[in-house]
Parts: sequence; structure tokens; C-alpha cells
Amino acid sequence: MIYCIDSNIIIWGIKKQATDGQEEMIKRAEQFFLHADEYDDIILIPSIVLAEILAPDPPQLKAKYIEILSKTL
Amino acid sequence: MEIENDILEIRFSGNDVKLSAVKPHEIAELIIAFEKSLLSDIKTRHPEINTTELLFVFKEIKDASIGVRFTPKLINNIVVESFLLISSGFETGDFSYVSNETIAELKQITKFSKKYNCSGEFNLNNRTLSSFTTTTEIQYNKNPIVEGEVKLFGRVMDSGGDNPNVHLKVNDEYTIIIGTSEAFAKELAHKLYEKVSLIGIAKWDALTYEIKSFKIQEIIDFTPGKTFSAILELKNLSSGYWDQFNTNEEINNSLLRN
Repeated sequence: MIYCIDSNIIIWGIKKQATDGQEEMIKRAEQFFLHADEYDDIILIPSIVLAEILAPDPPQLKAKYIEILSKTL
Repeated sequence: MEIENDILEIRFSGNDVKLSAVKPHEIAELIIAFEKSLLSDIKTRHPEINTTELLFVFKEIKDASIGVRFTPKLINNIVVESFLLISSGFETGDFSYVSNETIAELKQITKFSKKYNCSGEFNLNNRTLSSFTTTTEIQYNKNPIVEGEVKLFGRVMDSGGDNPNVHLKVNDEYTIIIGTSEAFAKELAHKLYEKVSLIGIAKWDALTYEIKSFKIQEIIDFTPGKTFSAILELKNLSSGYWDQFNTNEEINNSLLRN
């Protein structure tokens, strides 16, 4: 299966905390990636999504993000 | 004349063509081709219009030769505008302003003319706008080609040959054959039936996204099953910027989507 994902699921995946009642969103995102791994699914991230996620982070983190994503997704 | 009474017609005549000499499904195919050509043109020119609505209707078939008639039901002016544009292409021979999707349907109409050795006319309210004959040819427009660096992902199905090339299966419907160097072909031959990512420079059709050429620059092994660990790595690396947003609505607002 090939999935093309939007920003929200990655954001929930990389969030370190959630307010009361929203913890489930982080778990759901993690479950999605675990499921993809279990079935050797392919995940595509559109460049615009990557740009949205990276935009707020400091420049030095951006190259590291792309390196991690390039070798796995 | 009231615009809602407009009658759009394609009429075939000559060589004694008539309804009784034509298979019913061929008439049905003509009606479908006409409908699709008009709808695809309307959709291209006016994407805001819902073309699944009943924009025009079949009116009648005239047996004096074969005349297939339609009449607008909604957005009359736009339906007639598309009809005029399409028919003017037959007058001038210039179809550059209609999409290839429309041209594909128009080819069905001229195919009928060739098969029955008859000529055709586009008529609006019984007035002939343009005509075509058995020799009329409509060429597809050439789409713009774009070049850039891309990453192709797929399964290596074959690699090698006198003229080294790689068969990369992108999905069940699409296998791309890529000419390459002996070195890359040899390297990929060792990855037969494995999934790989190929980074390189591609040229592709800007409208259909079909890849016209691809030059491999780098081969990356695909190792599935690591997305979760990647997400965890990103989580550790993250500045925590997104932690301040706690609902999808807040996230969407920050992404300027609402």
C-alpha cells in the first residue's frame, strides 16, 4: 500500500505533548506509522507538506530532518 | 431567438449514410463522444462548473442523413460557447485551444466519418458552422515538458542488456524503462526484484506527468519498516514548535488553512 500523507499526521507524530483529551491523537499517529512498518507500506510526503512542517524550525534542523526522511520515507 | 432553444447538431451526410445503415451502438458512441467533448471543454474552461449536472440534453436524431441534436439545459451560453469553439477548430484546423481530452472525443466523431466515407457538419440552429471530411485529421497538442530532479521509487524487474537499461516497476500499471550506464545497470542487477529509490534528472509531461526520460544519478536502497523510528527521531530532534497547537483546528490555523 502507498500512502500520501498530509502535514497533520506528521505533526501529531512528532509532537512531544498534548493537552488533556488530545493524547489520543499522538497515539493514533504513532499507530499509523507502526502499521505502515508492519506491512512494508510506502509513505509519500509531498514537498509542500515537508515545507509546512519545516518552516517554523531553525535552519540547522531542516537538513537533519530531510536526511532522516530521505533514508526512510 | 431564445437561447434555451439553441439546437446543437452534428450531421453526417454523403455516401447514402443513414440510420438504417449504421449499427445502433455507433450512434450511441457518437452521442457519447459529443457529450464528452463538450463536457471536457467546459470543464477545462470553467473548472468552477459542476459538469456532472445535466448541462445539455439529447434532443433527437434526424434520419435525413444522420443528424444528432442536443439542446442546452443549464448555463446555455457556456455550452454554446464550447460548441462554437470546438466547431471553429474544424473550420480553421487549429485545435490548440482545446484539451487533448476533448480532441480524443472529437477523433471518435471523425472516425465515424472515415468509416462511412461521409462528411460531417457542426450546425447551430440549422446554420452550418464548420464541416469535416474523411480526410480531416486532428492532431493532439504537444504538452509542455518539464525537467527537474526527482526520486523514482519502484521494484527492479530487469537490468542489463547490450544497451544497458533498467525496468523499474512503479506500480501495477506502470513500469518505466530507463536507459543507463553499465555501472548503474550492474549495480541494479544485484537488486533484482528489490525495491529501490533512484535519484536523477527527469523530463516529464507537465499535464499527464508521464516521464519522458530519466538519467540516474544515485541509487538508494529502500529499507521498509523504519518509518516509526524516523518519526521518533524527528520527535527527538523537533524544536517543539508544534507542541503549542493542540487540536487539528489549531494546527490548520497555524498552517493558514482556515
